[in-house]
Amino acid sequence: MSSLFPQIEGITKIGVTSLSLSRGEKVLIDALTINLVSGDVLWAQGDNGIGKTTLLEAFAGLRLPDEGRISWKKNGKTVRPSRLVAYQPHKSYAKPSLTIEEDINFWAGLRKAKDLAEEAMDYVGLASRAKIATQGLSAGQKRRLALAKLIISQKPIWIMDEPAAAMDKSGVFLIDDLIKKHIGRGGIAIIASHDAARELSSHTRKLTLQAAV
Amino acid sequence: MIAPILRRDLTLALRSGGAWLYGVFFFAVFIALNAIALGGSLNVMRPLAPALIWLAVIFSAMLSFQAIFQEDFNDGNLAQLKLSGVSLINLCTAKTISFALLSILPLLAAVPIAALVFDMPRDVVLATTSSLLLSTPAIAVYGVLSSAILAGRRGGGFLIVLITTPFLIPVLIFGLEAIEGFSKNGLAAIEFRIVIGLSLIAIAVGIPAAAAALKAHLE
Repeated sequence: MSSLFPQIEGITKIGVTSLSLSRGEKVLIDALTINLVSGDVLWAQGDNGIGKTTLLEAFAGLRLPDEGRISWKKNGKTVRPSRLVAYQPHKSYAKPSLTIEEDINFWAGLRKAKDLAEEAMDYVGLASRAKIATQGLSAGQKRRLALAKLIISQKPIWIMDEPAAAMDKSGVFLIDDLIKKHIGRGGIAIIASHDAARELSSHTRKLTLQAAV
Repeated sequence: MIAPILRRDLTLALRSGGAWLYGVFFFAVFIALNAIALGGSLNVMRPLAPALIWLAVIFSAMLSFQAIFQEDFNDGNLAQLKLSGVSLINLCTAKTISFALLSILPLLAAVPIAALVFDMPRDVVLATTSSLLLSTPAIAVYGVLSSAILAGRRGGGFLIVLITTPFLIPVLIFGLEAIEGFSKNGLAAIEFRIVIGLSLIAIAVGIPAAAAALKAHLE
């Protein structure tokens, strides 16, 4: 396995206890309890606007729950979510006027992983476009760039919002392959999608979000 | 971790098609309109010049306050910066420096041109530039603070003015006093020390407050 995917040391855990989330008056998630450990995949499926993104933001520690709690643990010790979580939002967060290379090097630099930037670009198939400004990329290529940034984050928990949207066949294959690799090295993947769950690990947990009746 | 964020902000600004120069443009228009409104008589304008230049700088800075965090909040970069483990204090410090460099220093460079319009004596130009330069940290920090408080809120432009005005009033008062004091004691005037003190207080209080405001938005 290449140095892009080093084995993840120790056991990572996310524990969610009777979590409730709402947007305005509308309750989106009510009393969700789930525990995920190294090697788990959580596939949250649901229609648009059902609360997938809200749930992912809570998992990433970017949104306080209305009720209940979420804990992020490394070897049994509770740590800040920013120590463990890498989040790939639905929308690209690449700055339009920066080139792919500049964008990825910036994030790699913050994570002290500059040596991985080139390899990660190559892995997602963007190496030949390194000098192109990200505003010139197609939606699928922006996703690939976001995947590269997920890889260089070197975090054990990957949270991905609709990673396969706008991706071609090889792109979907790339995502599945990445997630399998990540799970294989002891990571956790949390994926939101309106597609039905794909079997990415023997520990795939499926969560279906539905509007309350 | 301050330098990479600062470098990226400067790169983005330089590629923004000159958006960072709007403030200078506003400054020039403000000065020109004042000269017209005051009838163009140098004897009337000369004593008012430092105050008008100060107002031009404050209004022009206020125009760009909201943008400090707006884009990073909307496009998700702020959330990513938080997850990447950058301390929010460092982030706010980087934003303060980039605001000072991109939005205030160009105005100071334009002060000599305003001085020509108002026919200001040389030492008054020097005094005005010095008092503005020493107040720059305070102005930038309060901009960062207000932008952090209002990040992600629509129609924040009006609130930005309301929030920053009380903070900027003492800076304005002592900034102008310092120009008076300069004629007697030069840079040793007591008012300059007050201006420096105001800037230091702004840094010590404003940056942690801005970081706390951002944190509240991001969870």
